[in-house]
Amino acid sequence: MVDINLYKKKKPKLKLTTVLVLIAILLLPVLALRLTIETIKQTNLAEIKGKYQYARTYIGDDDIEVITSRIKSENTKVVSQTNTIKAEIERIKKDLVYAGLTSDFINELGIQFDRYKANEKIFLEAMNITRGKDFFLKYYNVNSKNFDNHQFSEELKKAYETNGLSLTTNQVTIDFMLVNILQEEITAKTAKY
Amino acid sequence: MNKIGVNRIWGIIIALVILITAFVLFNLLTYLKMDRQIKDLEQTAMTYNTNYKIFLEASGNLRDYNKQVSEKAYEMEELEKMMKMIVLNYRKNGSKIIFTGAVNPEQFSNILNYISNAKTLKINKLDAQSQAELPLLIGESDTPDMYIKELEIELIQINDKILEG
Repeated sequence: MVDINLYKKKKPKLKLTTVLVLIAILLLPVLALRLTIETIKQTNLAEIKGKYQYARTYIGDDDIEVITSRIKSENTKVVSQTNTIKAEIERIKKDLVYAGLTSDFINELGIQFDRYKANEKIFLEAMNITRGKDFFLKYYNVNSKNFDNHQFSEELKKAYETNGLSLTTNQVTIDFMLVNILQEEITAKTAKY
Repeated sequence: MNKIGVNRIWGIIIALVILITAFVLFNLLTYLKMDRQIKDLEQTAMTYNTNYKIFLEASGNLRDYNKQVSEKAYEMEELEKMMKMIVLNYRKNGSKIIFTGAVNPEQFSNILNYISNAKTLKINKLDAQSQAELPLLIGESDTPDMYIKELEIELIQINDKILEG
């Protein structure tokens, strides 16, 4: 009896197939894990979309880096717009405060004039209101010698100080026949407005 | 050992190397990269969300101011009407009214009264001086005229471009 190996030539071919199958089996969990990672990625993206409602518009199917870059670019725009708006709000606030300040300054002059015009005479000599500078007022307050003080002037200064204005005054009293003349200069510290 | 064979051992080693390399390349590195990107994205989205909320709040504030200011926008038109009525030749420059000239006490009082009640008009400049040597006129009943060297009144306005965003 002769011993003949019928698979002698087939043996190496069978080994290569085994190796290929083995490689495929080995790669299978790797591929499965890769799929799991992709699922984790999608879950995370969905979570971020749900958590941050304003950023959701920019989260699509693109690469995460592209999405991040897009949101960063939009963020820069939003920050810039916000800064512009905030600056505009500050400007408007300052303007309104300044407008209120000038209104009060003039309004008090009218109020005190109406209160004391029956007994005192008031002559306005100069008025200077300029933004960024101190307000200036120069007037003459005349009353009869029967009255000791100049009510208009006293009350005007009190009212300005009550309104929060810091004042410096310069006054000269003149005795003139039957009247007392008070020449007064008021400077209100308003340069900071 | 002889039973397994050297080639088979090499095969197992190569297979393990392929497995580990594939794991590192396709899983570990990918996962680490994805994790870093997700963290970065979350951080960016959070920052954007916060900044967008601040933007919405600031926009809302600006709209509120605009509403307040717009409601009083008639003040400038009223001032113009009044100045026309008391015959003052003012100049208009955008949202500004500019005037130079002599005014009698009544006209001056009218202007001051109006401005003192306005909320959206700001006096950029008012330089007024009596036209007479006052101490000499004190005994007289008439109040002297005032000379306005410069009067500039401006309407407070919000920049439309910023408002529209």
